[in-house]
Amino acid sequence: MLSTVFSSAVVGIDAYPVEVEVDISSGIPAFNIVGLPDTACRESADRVRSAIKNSGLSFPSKKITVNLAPADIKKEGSGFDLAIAIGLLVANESIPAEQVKGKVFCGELSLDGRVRGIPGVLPRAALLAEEGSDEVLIVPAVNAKEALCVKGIHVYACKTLSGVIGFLKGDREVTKTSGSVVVSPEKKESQFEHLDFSDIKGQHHAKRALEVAAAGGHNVIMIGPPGAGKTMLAKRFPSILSDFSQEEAIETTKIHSVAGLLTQKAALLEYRPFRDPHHTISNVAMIGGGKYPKPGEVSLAHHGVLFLDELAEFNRNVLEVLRQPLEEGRVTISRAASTLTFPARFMLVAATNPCPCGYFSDPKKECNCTPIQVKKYMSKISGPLLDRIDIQLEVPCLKVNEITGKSGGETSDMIRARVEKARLFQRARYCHEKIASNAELEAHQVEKYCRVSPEAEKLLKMAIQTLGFSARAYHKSLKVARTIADLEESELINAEHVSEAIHYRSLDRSVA
Amino acid sequence: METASQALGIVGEELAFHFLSQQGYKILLKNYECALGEIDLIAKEKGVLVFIEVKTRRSDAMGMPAESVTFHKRRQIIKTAYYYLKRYGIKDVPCRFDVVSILMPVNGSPSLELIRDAFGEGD
Repeated sequence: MLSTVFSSAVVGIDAYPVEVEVDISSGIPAFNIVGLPDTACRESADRVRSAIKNSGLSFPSKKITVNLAPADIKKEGSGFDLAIAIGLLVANESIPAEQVKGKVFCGELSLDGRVRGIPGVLPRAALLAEEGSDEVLIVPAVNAKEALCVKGIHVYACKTLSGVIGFLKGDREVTKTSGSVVVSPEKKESQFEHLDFSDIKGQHHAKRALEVAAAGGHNVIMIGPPGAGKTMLAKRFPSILSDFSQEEAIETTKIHSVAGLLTQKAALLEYRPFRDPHHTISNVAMIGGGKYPKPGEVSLAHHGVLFLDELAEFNRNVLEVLRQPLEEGRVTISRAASTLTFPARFMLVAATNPCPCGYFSDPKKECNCTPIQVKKYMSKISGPLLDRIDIQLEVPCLKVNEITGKSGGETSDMIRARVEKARLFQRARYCHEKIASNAELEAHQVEKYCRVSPEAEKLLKMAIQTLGFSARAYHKSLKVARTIADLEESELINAEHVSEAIHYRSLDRSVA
Repeated sequence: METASQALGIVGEELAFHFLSQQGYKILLKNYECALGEIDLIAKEKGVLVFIEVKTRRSDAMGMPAESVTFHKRRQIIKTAYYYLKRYGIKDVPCRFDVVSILMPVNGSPSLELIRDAFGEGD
C-alpha cells in the first residue's frame, strides 16, 4: 500500500515542503530510501525500524520504498525520521490515512521511540506561516518553543513515537502547545549582570566612542597596548546595544536554529548575538560554507556584534572575505551542490595592538619593534577593510590613579537608554529610506541628511587641509558626526559634533 | 571427499530440517543451488516463502554460528533467492530470510536457535 505524509526540509535558512511517500509491497524484504538522501538521512531506515519495534508495533517484513519528493534536491539530516515512521504505519494500515492529512511532521527518532530535537525548526514553522496554511506542525517537544516564535500556526509537541500514534488515532489526548514567544526586555538585564560598563576604570574616551558606535551602528577598531582594556570594553559592548525588535530576533534566531545552536531554554534569542571567534578561524568558518552550506560567524552575528580580537593576527584571507558582508549585509556562498545567500548585517568591533610587541606609541614602555615590523603588522589590515570601519579608536594604558581608583562611571543601562533614544531619532528620519542607521548611509544620502552648521563646515575643511583627510575620511567623519548629533537629538550637525567625529579618525590622523 | 566441517554442516541441516518441520514449516527444497550460490532450505510458513540458512558450529569459541552469516553471505543468499523467484516465475509472494544457528558440542546435545526475519535487502 502507498501512503503520503508531509514534512519539510531546510536549505540555507529557508524551509521547503517535502512529501514523504512510502510504498510497501511483498517480495524480498528491503528498506530503501530514495530522493537524494545523505548518510544521516539514509540511516533513518535503521532508526525507524527500531523505533517502531520498540514502540510496541510490528515492523513489516516487506519491500519498503521511501521517496522524499522533490526527488532532485539533496536531503540531509535526520529530520525525516518521524515522517517516514508515520508514513510506514499509514502504509501498513496501522494508522488511518485521513488522520495524517493537513499535518506536517518533523523530528528525529531514537531507537527506543523517543522523538529527538532537530535543527531548523523555526524556518519550518516560518514556512507554514508564509504559506498561510492551516496545517498542523508536529515537532519534537524540545523544539516546541522555537516553533512558537512564529505566530499564527498550530503546533503540537511530541515526546515519543507512540505518543504521536496515540494522538493520530485519537485515543490519547495530546495538548496543543500554545502561547507565543516574544522578546522580553526584562530578561536582558540578567544576561549582562556580570558585564557592565561601570566595571571599567577610566577609558571615558573609549566608552563614549562605543556609545556613538552603538547609536549609529558604526564599525569600530580599537588600537592600544596589551592590558589597556580593549577586550573588556568589547565584551561589555552588547550590554549597551539597542533592544532586538521581534523581526530582527526571528531573523537571527532562524540562522542560529539552522546552525543548531539554539538551546531549549532560549527559544528566541533575547539579546543581540556577540560572536568572538578565535583568530585562527578559517575563512569558511567565518563566512559560512561546507558541502551543504551552513552559516558562518558573520551570519551568526546578524543584527549583533562580530568581535575580532587581535585583528592583525587573523589570516589575511579571513579578513578579506569580510568585505562583501560588510558592504552588502549578506554573504553569498557558492558550492557545487547549491548557491545560497545568508544575511550578515553585523557590527564589526575589532581590537588590535599597534605593533608586534604591543607598546608602539605607549608613553611608559618602550617599543622594541623595528619600523618595518610595525609597518608590516599594521599593513595586515588592508585599506579596503579599514575603509569600512567608521570609528578608529586609540585605547591608551591607564594611569596610576585610574588603576588604583574606584571603578565607576555610568552603568550600561544609562548608556543604553541614550543609545535607544538616538536609534529612535534615526529611525524617524529614515522612515522613507531602506536604512535604519547612520552607518548605512550612502554617499548621496550623506549630502541629503547631514546638514552641517557653518562653523562645522569650516572645521571639516581644516581637517582636510591640515590632517590630510581623504574624501572617504571626510564622509566617514560626517556620518559619525551625524550620530553624535543624534545622541543629542539635534537635526543640525554642530562644530562640537564634527570635532568629536574627527577625533575618531586616529589612523587617518597618524598617517598625516 | 568430505571434510569434517562439511560433514558437520550436513548433520546440522538434517537437524534443522526436523526442527523446522516440527515448527510448522513446510520444507519445499533442500540445498537449492544455482550459479549465484546456494540456499540450505526453502520452506513455506503461513503463506510466506522462507529462505533458510543453517549454520552449525562445534563451539562458540569463535563466536556464535549465526554471527558467521556475514554481509557477503547474506548478499549471496538474497541474490540466489532473487534467481529462484525469477526462475520459477514466483511473483507477489511475501518472502523472508531466516537463520538457524546450531551449536553442536563434541560430547553433548546440540542446541538450536531459530532467528526469524534475520535480514533483508540493504542490511
